Amino acid sequence: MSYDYDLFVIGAGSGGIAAARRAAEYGAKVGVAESGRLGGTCVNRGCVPKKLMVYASHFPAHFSAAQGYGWSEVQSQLNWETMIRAVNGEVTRLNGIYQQMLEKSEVDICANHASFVDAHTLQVGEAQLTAEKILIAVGGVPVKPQSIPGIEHAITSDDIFNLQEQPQHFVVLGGGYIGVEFACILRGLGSEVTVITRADKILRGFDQDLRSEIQEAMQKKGIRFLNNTQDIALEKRDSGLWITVKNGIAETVTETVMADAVSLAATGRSPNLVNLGLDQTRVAVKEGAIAVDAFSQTAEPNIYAVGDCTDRINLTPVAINEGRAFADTHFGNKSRQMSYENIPTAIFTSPEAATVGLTEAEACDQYGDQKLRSIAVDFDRCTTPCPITTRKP
Amino acid sequence: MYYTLPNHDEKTLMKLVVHTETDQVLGAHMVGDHAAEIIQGVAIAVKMGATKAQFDATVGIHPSSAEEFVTMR
Ligand SMILES: Cc1cc2nc3c(=O)[nH]c(=O)nc-3n(C[C@H](O)[C@H](O)[C@H](O)COP(=O)(O)OP(=O)(O)OC[C@H]3O[C@@H](n4cnc5c(N)ncnc54)[C@H](O)[C@@H]3O)c2cc1C
Repeated sequence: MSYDYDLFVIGAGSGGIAAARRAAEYGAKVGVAESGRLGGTCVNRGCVPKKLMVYASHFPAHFSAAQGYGWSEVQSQLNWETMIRAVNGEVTRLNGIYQQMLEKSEVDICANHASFVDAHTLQVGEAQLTAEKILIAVGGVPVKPQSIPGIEHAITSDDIFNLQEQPQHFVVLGGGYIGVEFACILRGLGSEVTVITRADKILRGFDQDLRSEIQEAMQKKGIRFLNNTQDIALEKRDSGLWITVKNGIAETVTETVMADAVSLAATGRSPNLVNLGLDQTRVAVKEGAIAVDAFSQTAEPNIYAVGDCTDRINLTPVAINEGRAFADTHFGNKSRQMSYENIPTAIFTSPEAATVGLTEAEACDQYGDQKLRSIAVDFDRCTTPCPITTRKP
Repeated sequence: MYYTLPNHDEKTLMKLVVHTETDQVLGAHMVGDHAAEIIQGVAIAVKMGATKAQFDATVGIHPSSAEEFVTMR
């Protein structure tokens, strides 16, 4: 039987575009469906606009540092609207670049939602298309925990890039990397910021020293932390949004923080599998994510999945690499698996942080602390670093 | 160094986790300016299984923060 496409990709985000282009370059006939804007989360409401806002947030510190170098005092005000317009302008420019790249690679773009009719057939808008292989690269969406009363009043990271005004009192629920990055962005831009976490510290999963160092540095910049909290509740009043939390250690202590209409729920993301018609196929879903093997193959042999919808390591370069490994294997005659060891990653807080390989705790679990040595330098202003932590077994 | 003249209170943390028997660098962590730019290069070494001795045999770029990764005791 012949199909309309050798490969059809659902979702033109980081993973989908990378796979589509690579497969087309090998000569495959490829189509991609995208219900939103080209480039996916990373380009439209993730890495790219976020990093631009990180840059915007750094200027006040540079302005003040300048005086140490002999520059006169800098008087400058942020125009929030201008910043948002500039950031979105860049996003639109990138949308155009992705369009051109796909066209140049001769990938058909269908600007529509796609859903499965059967394992080889997709409903894309009004049309039905068939493909020999189908790659699911639908990404993820932010989730708000419905167990929190009043959570409907909170925004998510998707909304932040379209806020008409700068929030003056900004409250972040959650201590994951997205939440703390936005906390630093808003603080740098001049807002009052509070971060509320259930854990004892931000950035669970990262190295302990790194977590402490970032949280302390953020505190010094005036960000307030409420750690070890429980029973969060949001309430909308005339004066703004009131957020009440209970102290999880001394349960009698309750804290209330006010935010002006806005509070960011940075409380996690989940694969975007609604209306995808997976039940028309044998694709298996495990804990909300598409289950795949090391070659990104699902339980339906001709259907594959890459990126955030598989909830492995949710980063753009990982989605891209998974997508390319898939294309190399099936269309380039170069069978390969993505390697998940030593994936470097950054946290664009102020100060910035980055890491690769095992945390001290992970290394201890794997090798035992007798076999480890952790060497650290922790220095401040001085040119010659003052090592304050050198730990040896 | 950038923060010395303005007298800003900014700290930098650099940390290596090393296996004592194989001397392999198992993890590298950094908090401070340009951490992402710095760790990307370090990641190649870690991915290749570089040892602490190989880190130390590498000459630093001076003056920089990144050079700490090859001069740590
Ligand atoms: C605020 C934020 C900051 C981030 N910062 C970083 C960072 O600094 N570095 C980093 O590496 N990663 C970062 N990420 C994560 C990164 O954005 C994702 O890991 C990456 O985009 C995943 O790519 P993907 O291809 O899996 O999915 P996506 O990029 O999400 O693309 C999926 C696409 O599929 C489309 N789609 C979904 N369903 C359908 C359907 N049925 N039919 C048609 N189209 C459909 C969607 O519209 C979307 O465009 C960030 C994420 C967020 C939210």
